Amino acid sequence: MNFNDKQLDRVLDNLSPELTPQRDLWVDIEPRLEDRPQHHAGLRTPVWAIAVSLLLCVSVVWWQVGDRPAGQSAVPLPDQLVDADFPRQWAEQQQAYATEIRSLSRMISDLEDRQKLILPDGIQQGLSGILAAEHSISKAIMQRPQSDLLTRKLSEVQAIHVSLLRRVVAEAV
Amino acid sequence: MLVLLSQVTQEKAVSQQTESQWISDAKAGDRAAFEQLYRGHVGRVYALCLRMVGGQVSVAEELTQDAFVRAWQKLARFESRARFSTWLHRLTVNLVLDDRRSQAKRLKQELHSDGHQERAADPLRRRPGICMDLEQLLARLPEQARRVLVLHDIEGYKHREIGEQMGIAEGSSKAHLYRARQLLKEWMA
Repeated sequence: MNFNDKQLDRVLDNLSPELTPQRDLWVDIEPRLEDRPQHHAGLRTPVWAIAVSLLLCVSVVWWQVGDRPAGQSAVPLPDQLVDADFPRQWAEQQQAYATEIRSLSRMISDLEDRQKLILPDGIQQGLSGILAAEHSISKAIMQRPQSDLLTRKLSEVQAIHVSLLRRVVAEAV
Repeated sequence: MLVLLSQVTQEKAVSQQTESQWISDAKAGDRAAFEQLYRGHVGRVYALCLRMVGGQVSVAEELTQDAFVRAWQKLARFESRARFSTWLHRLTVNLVLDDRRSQAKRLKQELHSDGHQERAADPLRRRPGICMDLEQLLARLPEQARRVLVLHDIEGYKHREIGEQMGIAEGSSKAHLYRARQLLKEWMA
């Protein structure tokens, strides 16, 4: 009898998806569970650090923008901001940042698709906090585009964002 | 019929709820809850391991244990929006492939020394045409071809996914599958 593809498919379909081990494997598994490592131990601490940094950033934003009358800055403008080259440098920096975030996000999404990475809740909350802080500071910058403190804070939050994503990728790869 | 369907749906929902509870308890360190997860999924994990390693029972047992230990260690990363069985399955496939890769040298040596004797005594080779149990036939397939067939035809992976996981080109995955199926058809004839 010649076996064709359909017949082979039928035979393969009939294979049981489950097989029972000949012995109870749990007895050997259970003792090994005691040494459960704390996952993302290296990432947990930074999440706390991130939370504190974000809190500081957001308070700075409120302090800067707050109810102050327009034009009254809490921090004196540094010389570098009147430098004519600053807008170009700032735009370049923002573009480089956006490119890096896009590339890291793609890598993370790819790793998630392949199930090589499942972001724990803590990291996701950290990322959401970072995005919220970036959004608030960016909004504040729109109101006070010449605020050195705000641009510096935005750069700091962006650096935290990039560093966290890099660590997530490094840990998964 | 509708009543039966609704009963089945309800039972499924309840069992999913129970499993979610076990997962969150196990995440909190409850080993009894993790044992329930083990009991519910060991059959599928063991079947996958056994087929991937060509029916070597002790290796499959060891890999099954490793898979659950790794699942325990990585449980914190599991998110409830994903299906636990899918997550565990992927984790097992990665573990088996990593393990096989890391032991490739040792296996090569073993196949070189013992494999020849084993093949000479292989009843299938001595008596081609004998219709053996499919599980045994799967075990006789060349290693790469068997893994691709198990992942594609039994576990439902796509060639792209297999290629990524096994570190081979999509075309190679198709070629391995073709070879595996040809051999099986030949042996089962």
